[in-house]
Amino acid sequence: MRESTLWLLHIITGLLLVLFFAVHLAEFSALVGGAGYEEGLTYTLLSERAQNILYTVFYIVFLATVTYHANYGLRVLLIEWLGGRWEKAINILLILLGLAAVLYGSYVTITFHLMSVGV
Amino acid sequence: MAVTKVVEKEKEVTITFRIQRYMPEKDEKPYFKEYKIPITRGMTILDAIAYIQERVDNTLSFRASCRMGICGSCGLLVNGIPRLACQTQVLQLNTTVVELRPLPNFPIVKDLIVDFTGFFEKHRSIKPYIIRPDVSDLSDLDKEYIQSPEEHLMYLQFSYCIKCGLCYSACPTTYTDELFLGPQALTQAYRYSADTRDNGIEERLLIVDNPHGCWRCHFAGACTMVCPRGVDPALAIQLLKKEIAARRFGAKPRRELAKLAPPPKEAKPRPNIPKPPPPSV
Repeated sequence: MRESTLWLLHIITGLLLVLFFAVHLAEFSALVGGAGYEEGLTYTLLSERAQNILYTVFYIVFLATVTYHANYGLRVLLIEWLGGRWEKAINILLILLGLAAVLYGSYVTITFHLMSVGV
Repeated sequence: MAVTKVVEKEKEVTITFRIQRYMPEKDEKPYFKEYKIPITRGMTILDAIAYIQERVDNTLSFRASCRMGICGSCGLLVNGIPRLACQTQVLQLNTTVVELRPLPNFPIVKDLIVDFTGFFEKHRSIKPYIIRPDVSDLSDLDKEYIQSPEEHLMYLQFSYCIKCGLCYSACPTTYTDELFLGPQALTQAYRYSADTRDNGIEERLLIVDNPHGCWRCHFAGACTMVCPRGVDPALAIQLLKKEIAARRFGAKPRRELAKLAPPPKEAKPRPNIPKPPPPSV
């Protein structure tokens, strides 16, 4: 893949993250209401929210976006730090790490959703 | 009465030169040697090292040619900053100790001489020449290209590059990523691509759009700081990124290739003007 494609994805995911983070904060504060973080954040509340499939999908997409954005930034740092000759190894390592993070995160989110809807 | 003009002798200042020495066959690693020499107003670093080589230590090696900032041979690390030895006056440095080292980011050949092979290979890799759809355009010596002054200004400053390697040695990215094309080659990629006579921009953008091309630059700006010719390589690299990004967003470049103008046949030369010599190429 051309470097500009990766760079463009980095910029797009960066913009998306601003949007996703705003949505995350907004729906979170709507969820806990005026109760505050300590009292408002209960298992029952989160479990109720997880019943909605849209939230599950949203958080998986959010996770994938964060993972790509962070890993691209990390790749730039690592290529500079270790030198250009390590580029292939760095790419493989970061792709594996990213896939692991997204798969594990999705597994947790989906399991929680299934638990909440009582499957 | 005859007027005698008294020429006052220039004041001499003794300056210590700490020069990095290295003979690969003999020395395990580079070391510093000190030379104390008299400096007068106007003496450049190049004058000083030539003085040392002629009168103090004839084993000192350095590279120089034109001694007026055109050839780009005498780049050195002067007190930690890459400079042309011929363009740097010793007294203007305002120190009593001047440290001279070979340019960083280049392999050392001997003493102050570095190997430019890799640097020139990177320069060649970006196709630093005018690319025309019809090659015969370039061999038609009777004709010239039509280019407006505005179009000329689009690349003029980048064409002042003398390939002295100062930007390349100052670049932090070149230091960490040995495959990085470097500010000089990237600037030349932009210089030829921005030229309306040239049609090779797409080819060159493909060359610089790789993990070790223009995207690796994070705009430290050291290249622009040290350029002895006033070129702004950092700008050129950002302009390259802009060209690539515009294409990725689907924007079509609307530049017309400069056409060949026929020679002015109607113009008559004034009488008594000798004819020019025939073309030698």
